[in-house]
Amino acid sequence: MAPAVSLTTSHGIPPPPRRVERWGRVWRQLRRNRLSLAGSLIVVSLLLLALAAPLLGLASPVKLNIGQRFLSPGPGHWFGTDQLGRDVLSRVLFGARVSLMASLLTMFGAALPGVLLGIVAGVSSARISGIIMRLMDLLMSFPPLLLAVAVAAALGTGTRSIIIALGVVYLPRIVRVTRGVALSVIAQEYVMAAQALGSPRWRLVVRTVLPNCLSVVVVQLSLYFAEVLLAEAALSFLGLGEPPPTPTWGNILYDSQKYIRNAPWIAFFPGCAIALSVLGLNLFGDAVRDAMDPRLRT
Amino acid sequence: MPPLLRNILTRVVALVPILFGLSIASFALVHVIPGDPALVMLGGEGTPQQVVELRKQLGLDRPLHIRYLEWLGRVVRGDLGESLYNKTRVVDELIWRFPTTLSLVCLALLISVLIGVPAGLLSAVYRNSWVDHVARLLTLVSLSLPSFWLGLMLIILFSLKLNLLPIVGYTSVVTDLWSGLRFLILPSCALGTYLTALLARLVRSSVLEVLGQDYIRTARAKGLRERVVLFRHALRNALIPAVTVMGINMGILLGGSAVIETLFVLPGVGQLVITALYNRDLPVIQGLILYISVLYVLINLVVDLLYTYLDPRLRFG
Repeated sequence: MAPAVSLTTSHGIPPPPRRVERWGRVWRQLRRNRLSLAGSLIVVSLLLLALAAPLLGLASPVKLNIGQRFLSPGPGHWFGTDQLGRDVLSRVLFGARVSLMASLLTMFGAALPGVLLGIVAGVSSARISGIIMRLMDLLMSFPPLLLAVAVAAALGTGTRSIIIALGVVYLPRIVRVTRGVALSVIAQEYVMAAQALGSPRWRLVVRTVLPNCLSVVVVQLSLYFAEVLLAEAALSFLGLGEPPPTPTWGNILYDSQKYIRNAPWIAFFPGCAIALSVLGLNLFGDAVRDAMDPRLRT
Repeated sequence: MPPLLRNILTRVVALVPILFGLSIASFALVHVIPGDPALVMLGGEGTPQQVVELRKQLGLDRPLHIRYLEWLGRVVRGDLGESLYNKTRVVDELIWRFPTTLSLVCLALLISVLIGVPAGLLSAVYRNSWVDHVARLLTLVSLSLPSFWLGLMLIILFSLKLNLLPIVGYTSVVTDLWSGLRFLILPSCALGTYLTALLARLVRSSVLEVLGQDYIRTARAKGLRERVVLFRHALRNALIPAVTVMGINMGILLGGSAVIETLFVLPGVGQLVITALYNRDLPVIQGLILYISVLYVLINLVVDLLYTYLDPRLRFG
């Protein structure tokens, strides 16, 4: 790419924005935005708490303690205890490990082929792109949660099924977004310039189109991540996820239904954990999007 | 041919491959899944004889394409198969349950329009005031709440603590409007909150965009009252994208209703999907997925056409 850049500038065509510069600008924008900072702080601290859960000296999330059933929140058990005397705080934090990990794996699992297919659809001939996009249209024509339920029905329950099911739901969405971005990147002058200079096609795609797409796509991914978290909770609430006793945010909520009359705290806290992490991701995603695309700023 | 008619025809023709694809995908759900469908349905608990019988009932002993064509033939004639679990016909279950889901989804949609649109409008008109800040904060929080958790919290608050509403149960709004609404209000609030927030956010940004247009300046310049400018010129144009978002989200509501119906024990289509899932009742799941997806595609078509109708630039373009 290096010779191409020097040549294009000598012909008066603006060079592609250097990546370092652009990220620098985005970073400066972000630092100014307190909401995005709050959002990332929430997400990072929840992730750290989830990772560190075994090191925090909490009560076991699965060990029964019948003598301590339905203790309301207070010192000793900040979030109270559940119907089997297990510490709710510990279950929420250990549940975070399963829920966040499942959502992260879903995002990676869908994003890798999704971005690849999107770029391919963006740069290839009308026929290949047509085939890819019609297949994605088909996947998009199922109502999202039902598609996930159907896939889970075929594969059986468990975290693995949820990851595959939600991956199938988000794959076409990621492909569409990426293709759209790729098309707009290809129309840029610096891509045309590189093309005119005879840069090989694959090189053009890998070195110029892909990196310039990624920044926009990553923002969209962070917003999808928030949706995936909600969907993962919903599916595991329906009993499609990890079977008990392993806690997930969804299955704690499922169990809590029976005890909402006497022990509403069992239902309250895991929901707060879901809402907080989704809020963090939304704050972060919105702010990064605004920082990267000044036109969208309102 | 007038452009509008041609537009409708093109869309309807484009629907054919999608419907075809949907039918193949729904069929594949039962017949191409890894492992023997009969074994999957019996959950590994069946005797060899049961497995053989079920295989025969599902037609697994015949070639795949023949099975698909036979199944398609029955589906086109309105036969979505029958439950393995209690032998009821899927179509009968649908006819019985659909009104519940429809009334839930419609009420959720109504709530989101009644709250989301004014909230977005106020937010845009009083941009950067405290009204705007509060509305945007509420929007952001509402977008982050899991609907089923919100439902649980609403039950705790309104049914258990305040004793205002029944916890679970169902009466059709057709037989008894008041009592039906009492059962539906909490579920539809839980279901509609996300869409309310989405609409509020969308209306805000599109009103802001429209308010910057030349024709608004013209309208103000010729001395129209602000109310007329706002409602007749700004809001009307700003609502066009909202129609699309609502259409797309009908599908999300239809799917999301499964979770809410399960939580509130409402006898709707979504609850049937989940019950069938627990029972590994694949024919029922297959029939329902096909039915709801076709419905979803048709709704999207209607919304697209409505969109063209609402925006004269597209109608005559």
